[in-house]
Amino acid sequence: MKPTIKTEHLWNSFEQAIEGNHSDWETFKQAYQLSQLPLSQQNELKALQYLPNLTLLDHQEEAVKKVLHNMHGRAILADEVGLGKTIEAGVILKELMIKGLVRRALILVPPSLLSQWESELNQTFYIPARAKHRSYPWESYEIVISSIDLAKKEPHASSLQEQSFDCVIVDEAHRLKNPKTKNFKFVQQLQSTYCLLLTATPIQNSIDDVYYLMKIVRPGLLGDRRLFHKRVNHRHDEAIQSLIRQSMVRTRKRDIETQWGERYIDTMYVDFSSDEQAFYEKLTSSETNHQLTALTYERELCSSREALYVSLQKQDEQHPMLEEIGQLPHHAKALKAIELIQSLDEPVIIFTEYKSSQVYLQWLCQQNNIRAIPYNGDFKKSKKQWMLQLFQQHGDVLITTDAGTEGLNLQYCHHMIHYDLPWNPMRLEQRIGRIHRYGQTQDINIYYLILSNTIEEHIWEVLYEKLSAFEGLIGEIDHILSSYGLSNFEDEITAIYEESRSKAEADIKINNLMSVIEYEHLEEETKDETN
Amino acid sequence: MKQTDLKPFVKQFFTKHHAQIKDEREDLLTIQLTKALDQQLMNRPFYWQYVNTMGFEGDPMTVSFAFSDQYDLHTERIHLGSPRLHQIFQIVKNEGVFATLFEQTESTDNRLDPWFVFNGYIQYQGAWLEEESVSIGILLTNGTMRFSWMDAVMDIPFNPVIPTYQFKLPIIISLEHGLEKIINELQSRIEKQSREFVKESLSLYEQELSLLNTLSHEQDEESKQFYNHSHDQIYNRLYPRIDINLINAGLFYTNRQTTQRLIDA
Repeated sequence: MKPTIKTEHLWNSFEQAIEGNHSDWETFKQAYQLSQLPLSQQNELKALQYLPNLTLLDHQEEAVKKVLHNMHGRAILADEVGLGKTIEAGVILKELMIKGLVRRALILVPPSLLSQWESELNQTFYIPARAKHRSYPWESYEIVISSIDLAKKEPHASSLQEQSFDCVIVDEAHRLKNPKTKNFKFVQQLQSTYCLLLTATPIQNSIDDVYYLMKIVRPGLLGDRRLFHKRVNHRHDEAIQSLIRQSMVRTRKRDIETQWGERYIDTMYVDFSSDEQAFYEKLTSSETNHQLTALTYERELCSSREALYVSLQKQDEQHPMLEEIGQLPHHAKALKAIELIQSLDEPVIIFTEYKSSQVYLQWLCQQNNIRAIPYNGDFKKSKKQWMLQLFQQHGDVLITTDAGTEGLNLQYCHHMIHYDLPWNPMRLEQRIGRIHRYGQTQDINIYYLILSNTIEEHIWEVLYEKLSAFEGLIGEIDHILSSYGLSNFEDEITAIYEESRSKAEADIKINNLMSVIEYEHLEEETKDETN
Repeated sequence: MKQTDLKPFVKQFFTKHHAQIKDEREDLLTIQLTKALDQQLMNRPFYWQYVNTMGFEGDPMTVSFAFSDQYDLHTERIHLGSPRLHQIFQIVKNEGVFATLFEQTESTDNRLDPWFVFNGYIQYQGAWLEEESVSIGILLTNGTMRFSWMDAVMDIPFNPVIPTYQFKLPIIISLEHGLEKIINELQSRIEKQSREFVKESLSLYEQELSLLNTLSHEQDEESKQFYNHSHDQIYNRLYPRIDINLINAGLFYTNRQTTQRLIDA
């Protein structure tokens, strides 16, 4: 078959050329030579010569080449947290722009990452990207960054769907895994030649997640949904894996040579004061017919008096225990945390599960002349930025909850305190990823604060001790569970407690669950090794 | 172009555009822009509109360019990726898009032959991406064509003014007709050498379409729209596309010896 060769535009540019000023020989030669710069051989990467300040790690360069040359510019970038997905996406976009294949691009990111994307694209990649401003229509932008929450709303959604983009990039794309949501429907209806979905957790709940992400990237690759389910049910895992590999790049931390700092982990046990211990005993022995509620109260008390107080008050304004909580002394763990911060003399990040504890810790820091900066998902974008800036320039401690920390880049910090433990160990990995990420060359220190003889110690023993024995296991838990048709880890644990009549029963069930995970992990390991 | 080539290039550019070099150090150039350069480079249309309406002289900016990592807030770093450099590249490319030039010669044979020269690149997009640079000259007296024309004449001095005692041979084939012949020649060459590219791209394209078709049994409006978008997307990425693009073009006059050398080689 004969190829179609387009020449119409050639005549236009020729006519324009001949009408303009005539140049001298030197300029003519220069124009000719400069135009040779971006030209490339088959499958050669040109973007890097334009990015002198950027050195790609091996796995990043490989990913970029794979996406451009084998996947033809539509792919899921699924490297684990902190391995530089944004950098890969930036280089891919740059290359496509140099080649003239992308002029208009839409980049959808979580609101908290808007300005980070904007500054990174501009400063690292020299791509003139702008965050969407409400006064200007979408058409007036060439490279526009927006939050998906804004873009999917009317009138924006229709306006965007009418336009065609050369490239669409979605960061934190696991938000698209549910086909019933507006997010998914909206992105699916966008017209774009090239498409990159970025997520560290392509499979969060079930293998279905990847099906829908793949449907956006390469429609039809996994067949229609019935066929896909048939395959999954028949455990044609290998076949599906190899299909997925055709359009997804995923590097794990354990796959790459660690050029980064070591992770030092310090588990610190703290004892309740006698008053607190007495109250804790009273709380555990008090009658509740609901296992999970009791557990929640215990965990709250392990965090702070305030967390429990707020939660009890919400249940019953006249709760008999409220008075007693007011009488308790300063929380033993909080005091320990203060002591730890003072001994470090370097900036520290503290993660807590509860907002009330966040406030309490902030107050306590202040009393001890420690400059503490709060941070959480409820803050407005500008406030978040201001807080981070304050912390970087003047702060001793950043006290934060899990919400809103996705994508935060805090690698100038080398100490992290887990003030209380989340249910989901995956969340722990996300937290640590804030400081232990690509570019971190120094050693980092992680501290766990655990109250002895409480539910906390218990959780530590049943959930964490075993897991932390296996490197890289935590990142895989949900993936392993999904192959058993279970939903995510957090839900699973909650369900176990809800359905169990006693703690002992729950422990046995959790233990079984952990053994399954451990077993699957070892299986995978041996598989990897034999490969 | 290497980092070390950038400073001479930038300096030459500004000198040529009548800007004043106020300071020059090893890795630094401080330049007083002219009004024209300020308007082209500094992106402040409102200022210039104001100045022009008020009938003022205007005050073009002074800019410092740094060519190494040693730069501060008051200097702009210039490297191959910096937007400023690409602005300058773009100006040069626009200025050098067409030329009429005469070889500087003292040859006794005082006739000059007219060439139409086309510099461009062919972009292949489909199964893979590739560009091929082409430079073709066609002799406008008899239609003889020569490839790699630019490489052969790089060191020859050309000037916009015809040398004394030389005269131009009349053009028999028009510039437009010359370009048409060049395009035809390119097309037939591309057809011959792109078979593998076309075959591979088409098979990828069809493969991808058939994957998409497994989804097409759903008939609601939303699915149809999705199908159409996906179809376009696959076409845009994989259907073999070959574009011929112009870099620059010119009318060149060479003396007999040069013409002979170009035809023979």
